[in-house]
Amino acid sequence: MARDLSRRELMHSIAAGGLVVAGTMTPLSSLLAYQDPKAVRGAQAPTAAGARTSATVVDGKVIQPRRELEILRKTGVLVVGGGPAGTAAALSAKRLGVDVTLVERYGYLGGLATGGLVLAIFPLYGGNNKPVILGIGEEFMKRLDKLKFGIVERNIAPDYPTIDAEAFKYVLADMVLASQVNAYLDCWGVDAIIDAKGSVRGAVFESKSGRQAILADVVVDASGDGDIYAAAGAAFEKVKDNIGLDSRIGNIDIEDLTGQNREHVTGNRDKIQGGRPTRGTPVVAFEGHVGSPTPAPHTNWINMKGPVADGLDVAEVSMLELKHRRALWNNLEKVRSKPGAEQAYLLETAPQIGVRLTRLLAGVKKLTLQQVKAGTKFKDVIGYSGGSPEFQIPYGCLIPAKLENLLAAGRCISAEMQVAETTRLIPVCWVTGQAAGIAAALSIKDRCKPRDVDIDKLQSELRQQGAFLG
Amino acid sequence: MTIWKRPPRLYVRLAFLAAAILLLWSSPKLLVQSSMFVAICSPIASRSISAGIGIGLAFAGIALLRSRWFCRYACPMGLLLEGVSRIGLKRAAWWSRLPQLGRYAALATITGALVGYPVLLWMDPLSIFSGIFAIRIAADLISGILAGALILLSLASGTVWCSHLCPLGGTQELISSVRLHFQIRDKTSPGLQGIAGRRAFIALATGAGLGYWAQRARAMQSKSEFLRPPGAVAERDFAGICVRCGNCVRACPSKIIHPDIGSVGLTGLLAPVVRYEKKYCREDCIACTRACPTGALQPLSMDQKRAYVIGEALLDASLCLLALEEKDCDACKRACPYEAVQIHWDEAQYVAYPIIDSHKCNGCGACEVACPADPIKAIRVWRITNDELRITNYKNRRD
Repeated sequence: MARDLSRRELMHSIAAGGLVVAGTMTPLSSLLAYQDPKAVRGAQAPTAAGARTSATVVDGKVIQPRRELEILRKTGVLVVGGGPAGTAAALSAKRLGVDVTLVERYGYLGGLATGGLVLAIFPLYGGNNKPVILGIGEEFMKRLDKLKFGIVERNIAPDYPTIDAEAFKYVLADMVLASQVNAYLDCWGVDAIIDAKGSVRGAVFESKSGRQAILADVVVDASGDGDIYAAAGAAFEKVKDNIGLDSRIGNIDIEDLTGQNREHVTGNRDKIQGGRPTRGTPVVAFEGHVGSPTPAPHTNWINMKGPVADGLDVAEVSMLELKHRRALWNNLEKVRSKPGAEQAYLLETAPQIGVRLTRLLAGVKKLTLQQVKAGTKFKDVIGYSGGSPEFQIPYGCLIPAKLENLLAAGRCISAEMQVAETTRLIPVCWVTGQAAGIAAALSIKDRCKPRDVDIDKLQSELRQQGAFLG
Repeated sequence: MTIWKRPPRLYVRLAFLAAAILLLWSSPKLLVQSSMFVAICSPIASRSISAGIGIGLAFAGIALLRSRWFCRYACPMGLLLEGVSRIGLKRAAWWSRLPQLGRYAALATITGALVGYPVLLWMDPLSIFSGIFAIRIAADLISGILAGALILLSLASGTVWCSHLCPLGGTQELISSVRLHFQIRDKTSPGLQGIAGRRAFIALATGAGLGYWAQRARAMQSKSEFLRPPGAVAERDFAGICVRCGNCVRACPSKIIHPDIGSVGLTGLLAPVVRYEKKYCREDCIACTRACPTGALQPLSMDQKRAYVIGEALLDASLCLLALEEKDCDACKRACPYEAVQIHWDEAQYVAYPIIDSHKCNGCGACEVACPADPIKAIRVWRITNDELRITNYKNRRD
C-alpha cells in the first residue's frame, strides 16, 4: 500500500476483500495490533463528506431517507451481544475454524455477569447436586480459579460460586483476543439485514463510526432482548419482569470475605429470632442491606430485584436507572449506621441495569414448565439447565419457527416465561450460547440452514468441547 | 389339653402372623381394623364408621362364643411376645395376683370414646404391632417404642401383657361376660357381676374424666407448633382417635410424617406430625389419608387433599435472602405447586420479598424445603391454631 491508509479505509478494503474470500480474511485481531505510527495528536484533515442522509421533518413527521450503509465487515458467524451467551457462542464457533464476528453494545464483555454485577453463577447443579453445566462455562470458571480473588465457592454444591466482575472481564478479553474472534465493542445492533426471501443476511449496527452493516452467513442473536430476530420479523412473546440494579459495596469490615470464612454474618442475620412471623406484609424495618460476599476482600455485592417494568421502554428503563442509583446511595447511608460498617462505601453501581426478560422467541420448540417438571428428554438436546430437578434444553428452542439463518441464544430463547426464569440465568446462557455458536458454524461448514444442522454432529461437537448432554 | 392339639394351634398362629404381615403390605388399615378394640372404640370416638371394622366386629362375634380365642389363635403381637418371653427371665409371676387390668383399660377407653377421647386406644396390640413396621432405615426408632416396651416387659416378666394388661384381651373378656350373663343355667359363672362393681365404676369414671381432661389439655396446647398430616380431624380429637399404628408414617413416600415426641405434649405422644426437612407433602399423593384405620386421618380424594390445609406458610423477611438482597432468590415461588407465592416489590422500602396467598397455600411445605436460608428457613409452614379457620379454608377451597 503506497499511501497511508486511514483506519476506516483499511477496514473498507478488508471488508471488500472479505466479500470475495469469506473465511480467509485478515482477523480483526491483527487490526487490534495496528497502530498508525504517524497518528498526530491535534487537528486532523477533514474526511470526505458522504451524501447527506440526515432525518428531515416532512409534514410534521420525521423521515429517515433511504441510504446505502457502509459495510463494516463480511463474516461467517455474526454474534450480536457479548454477554454470557454471546461470548460462549463466538468462542465455540471459532473453534470450528469459521470466521466469527462478535459485536457488543457496552465497552466490555460479559454482559450482566460483569457489567450487571450478577456475580452469582447459578444454577450449575442438578437435583442431586451433580454439576450439569460444563462445557465453555466450566472453562471460564477454571480460568477464574487461577486468578487471585477471581471466584469463590467452587464445587461445593448446593452452594454456588460467586465471581469477581473485573476478573471475568479480563478472562473474556483474553480469550477473545487469543481466539481471533473479530470483536467490535461500543457497537449496538439495531436492525436485521434480510434478503428478498426474508432470510437474515446480517445486522446493522450503530457506533461512533456511524450506522454500518455486517453481512454474515448466520446470525446468532445473543442480544438478550431478541433485538435482531424481532427486527427481522420473527414471532415472539413479549413479557415483563422485574428490573433491578446490582451494586458492590466496599470496606465492609464485618467478616473475612476472601472465601476462607464462609460464615454469613450480616447486620440482620445476627438478630435471628425464629419466632412465628405475622401474616401478610413483613413488619421488618430494613436497616441497610450489605448483600453477600464476593471474591474481593471486604467487598460485598448487593442484589436488587426491582419492580416489574418494560425492559424495551427507554422511558421506564431510564427512570429506573435513576431511582435505583438514588436508592443504592440511601441504602449506603443506612449501612454506615451499622457497627463495623461505618467506613463502608459504594464501590460501584452496575454499569448496566438488570433487565431480566423482555422477548421470548416463538421457536420450532417452546420449552414448557410441564416438560421441565416431567423431566422430558429431547432427541435434539443441546445441554442441561441446573435446577431441582435439572432439565434438558432442545435445539428447537434456539431456532425461530420460520425465520432462516438466525439462531437465538441466551435469555431470549423459546421457552415459557416460567422456564425462561431459569434459562435466562448465566450458566444456562453459556449452554445455549455454546450450542448456538457450534450449530451456526456447522451450518456454514455443511452449507445448510441452521434448522437443518445434523443433530448428531452438533451433539458430538458439543461433547468434544466438554458440554454435558446427559 | 392333649398333646396333639399343640402343633395345629402353632400352625394356625403362624398362618395368622403371615396374614397379618401380608395385610401390612397390601392393606395396612385392615390389620388394625381387625382389632375389635379399635373396631368398637374408633367409630364411637370419631362418630363415623368405615367398612373395614367388619373384620374386627367378626372377631368380636367369635369372642362372644369363645373368650380369648383371638389371643390364642390370631394375635400376631401375642405370638411375638410369647416367643420373646420364652427367652426372657423365668421369674416368679409376681403379677399373677394383679387384677386383670386389660378389661378396665378397655372399659375406660370405651367411655372415653363416648366423651370423644378414647384414652387408652394407643394400647391396642395390633396397632403396636403395626408400628414396628414403620421403623425405617435411617429414620427414627420412635415408631417401635411401644413394641419395644412390650418386648422388654415380656423379657422381664413373661406374659403379663397378654394375660393382665392388654385392652384387646380385656375387650374379649367384656364381650364374653355379656354372654355368660345371659346363660342363666351357668349359676357358677360371675357373668356381668364379675366385672361390675367398684373397679369397673372407677374405670368408667376414669375413662370419662381422662377423656374430658385430655380434650381440654389438647385445647390448651394450642400454642405449640406442630403439623398434622392431611386429612387429620380437628386437633382436639386427633390424638385420641389415632392409634399410633404408624400406617401413615409408613405410607408417606416423602417420609415427612413422624411419630411425635415432645412437640405436642403427653396426650399427643407418638401421634403423627409432619416435618418438612428434605421433602414436602406432594400434590399428587393421598397415601397417608388412605392408610389410616381409625379415621384420625380422613380418606381424601386428590382434589380434597390439595385443598386440605395442613398449615400456613409464613415469611420471616429478616431471614429472607431476597429481602436482604443477598441473592436473587425466588426458590419458594418456583417450588410452590399451587402458585401461592409471588415476589412482591415494596416500593416504599425499595425491596422485594415473597408474599403468600393464604387462599392458595395449603401448607405443603414445598417452599420451606426449597428455602436456602441457613440455618433457619425464612419461609416455614406454621400451624393454623384455629381449627375452624383451617376447616373454613378447606371448605372454601373445595367450592
